Amino acid sequence: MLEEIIEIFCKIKAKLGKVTREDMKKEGLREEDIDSAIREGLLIEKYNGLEITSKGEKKLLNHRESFLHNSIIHEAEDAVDENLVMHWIAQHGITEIDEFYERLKALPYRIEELTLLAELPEGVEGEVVLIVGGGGVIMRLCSLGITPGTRLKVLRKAPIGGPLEVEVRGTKIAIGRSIASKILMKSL
Amino acid sequence: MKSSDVVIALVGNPNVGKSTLFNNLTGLNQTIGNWPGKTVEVARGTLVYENKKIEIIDLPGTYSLTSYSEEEVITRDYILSNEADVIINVVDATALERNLFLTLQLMEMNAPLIIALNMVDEATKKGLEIKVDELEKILEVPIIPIIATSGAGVAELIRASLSKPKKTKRLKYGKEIEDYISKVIDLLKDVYKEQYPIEWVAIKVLEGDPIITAKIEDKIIRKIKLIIEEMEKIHGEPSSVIIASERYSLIHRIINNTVKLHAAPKISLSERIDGIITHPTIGYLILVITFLSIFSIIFSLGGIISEELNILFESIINYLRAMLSNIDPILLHLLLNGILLGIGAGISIIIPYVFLFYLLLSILEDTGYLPRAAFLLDSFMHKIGLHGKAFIPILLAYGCSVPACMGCRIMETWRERLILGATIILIPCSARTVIILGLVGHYVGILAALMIFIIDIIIVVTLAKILFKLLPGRAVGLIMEIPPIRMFKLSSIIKKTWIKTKDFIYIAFPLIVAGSLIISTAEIYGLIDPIVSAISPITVGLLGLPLETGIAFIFGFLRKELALIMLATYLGSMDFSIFMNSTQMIIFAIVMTLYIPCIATLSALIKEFGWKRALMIAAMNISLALIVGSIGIRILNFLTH
Repeated sequence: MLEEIIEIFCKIKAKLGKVTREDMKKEGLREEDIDSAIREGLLIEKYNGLEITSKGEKKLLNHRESFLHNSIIHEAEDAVDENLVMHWIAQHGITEIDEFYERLKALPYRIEELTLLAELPEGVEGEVVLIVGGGGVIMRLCSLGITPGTRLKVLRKAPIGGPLEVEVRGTKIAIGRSIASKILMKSL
Repeated sequence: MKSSDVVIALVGNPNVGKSTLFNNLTGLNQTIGNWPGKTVEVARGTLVYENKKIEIIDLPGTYSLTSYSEEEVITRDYILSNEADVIINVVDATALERNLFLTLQLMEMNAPLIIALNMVDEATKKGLEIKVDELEKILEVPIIPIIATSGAGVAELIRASLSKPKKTKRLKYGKEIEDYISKVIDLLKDVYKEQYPIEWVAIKVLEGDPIITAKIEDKIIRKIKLIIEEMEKIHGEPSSVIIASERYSLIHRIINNTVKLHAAPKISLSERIDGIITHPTIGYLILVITFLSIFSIIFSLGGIISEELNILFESIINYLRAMLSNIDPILLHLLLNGILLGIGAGISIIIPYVFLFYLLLSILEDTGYLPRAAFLLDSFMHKIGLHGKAFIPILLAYGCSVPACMGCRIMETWRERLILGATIILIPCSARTVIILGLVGHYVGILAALMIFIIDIIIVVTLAKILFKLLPGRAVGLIMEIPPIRMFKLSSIIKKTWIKTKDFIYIAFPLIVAGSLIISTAEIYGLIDPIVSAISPITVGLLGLPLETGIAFIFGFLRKELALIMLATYLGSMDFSIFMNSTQMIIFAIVMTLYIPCIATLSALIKEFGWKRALMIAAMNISLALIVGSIGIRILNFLTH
């Protein structure tokens, strides 16, 4: 399966930083598997190693999307808010999906209690459960008082996908919709 | 060697009244300059109190002391340098919980701290009772309640600073975190020989601070990494988040013991105003009206002031010409047409617009309207790959490109700053607006002038989109504090406006006068005609403009606002309709707007982005202007024939 070949590629890439044919073979793939992925334009040979193409990334994303869909949404039977995951996937890159999924699995909450900050209606209060994102974004949020466990209230939302204004620790903070969809909340 | 008796540094979150306190302490006795080698502004000032000379440094406003932004690194490096005898931490009494996050970090650094508890009046109005004595006891830091806007408590603050407070000790966190900290200290103890407090270094390394981590031997760091991994495994969060949460939970306990909320706050007037100006429909209406009125005030009132000053300067020059008729004519020409006319044009043309612009901007700033406008405009800014805050430099650019370039610093990443810097210089500043209005608006019609502004916006948006695609990196989202709506203080507005205008004069004036001198010299040596004919293939051939417009393009680089005047002088007539038709005027104004940043803007670009990028931006502007101009004239000619 082509998807599996790229998944293996990503796994090695995450571990070693760079990927060669030999590494791929150690994971149980055959030469012709790798060649077929290159033929399909999913991988490319570069600097004595292998790299993923944008087509390959797209394929990977599709694969994980359905994986996430099947595991999170269907395992939790009908309970999960489908928008939550789909909205999130639409907004973010591949590496973050992994992180999000890993951490979502470990959370001590029932998934149906959770919602994204971006989805929280005006006037509703919630508690921050999880923030996903680069170190810069997380630290900027932390320094403005938004850390896991913090209670905040959505004051208003700007129209057309604009930012949210939240009240936290006695101050008001505007948070862009894309960042707000990386903050998982438990509504109170 | 210190030239002053005491050095005080002001540290605090943005919007806590730090600058107001600074202005209150130093009056107009201050200079704003770049931190050496950095694009962060730092204001310095002096104060004499009881025969002691006190130097005051206003460090950039920060929420934290990580190494994620230049401001934070500069602030903490300065504190660690021990240059300041006293660190005054300005704290907003109405948002104590968030403000103490920085205070705890300053205490971790053992800074010689005094807390200036600002806006105690507003806190009382909100129904907050802060037990200052209790808080002082818990933190072991002197706390002086002040009201920076009225000056209450400021004298006490100075007296407390003169008694040079001792170094603070950090507060202890929960047992678990303290155990991790001691483990790291044990590992560092034998090898760490720098002057920084070891406990602070231990916390920073635990947080994974890249700058501090890089200063420590790999062997030790590997061992510390194991501790961090253990910590992250237990909590399921990055170590920096765990420590930030720990600080907040300690603050929460402190607040519970020292702050009481009496009456549940009623919805105040400022909240009600806030609701209207950020309303999803009325808010946008107010936004449009606000900015339209700002521009009409600037250009109508500015025009009147400008004209009056111009008449005044002309009479001064004529008077001097008569007085000095017996000196060398070349020298006289350089003196009058070069230096004096340069200064005169600077004062009469730029100052009225720039001053008025800063005045109105300061009002928007002090009332808290700007962040709300950024809030409303965020989704539009995302269309060009930037976020809401980008609107502030864009607004500045309609006044003058120089402060707009410097204003790009409010963006978080270098990529955002570059995209914004490269595009906002294409926005017509007040000098270029005068050209558009004075030529196209006057001779062709106000609708045509308006069209030029719209075309310009389309070009800016397209270019920003292209750059956003070309430059590597991902879009950065908006995270911004929204301060409460406040009534502005006239004295503070005027002070601010004056300081900004003065700053502008220092940067732009020498270049404007130098430009004037170059023009006069070129005139004397007859260099203008050869240059004008040398560029005629472009002006006449490519753009289909009259030969004489070359002069405007040459001098427009030195001083954009002079382009029209120079052209008029060269032609010997103020009536441009004699030698340019409507089509040519429109194309001339568009090319004039786009073709190159003026010399003052170019120097600002060099300062912000370096030589190479500044020249690339200028080259990009020239080609853009030529492409738009040459296509534009052909389309217009086709349409009119």
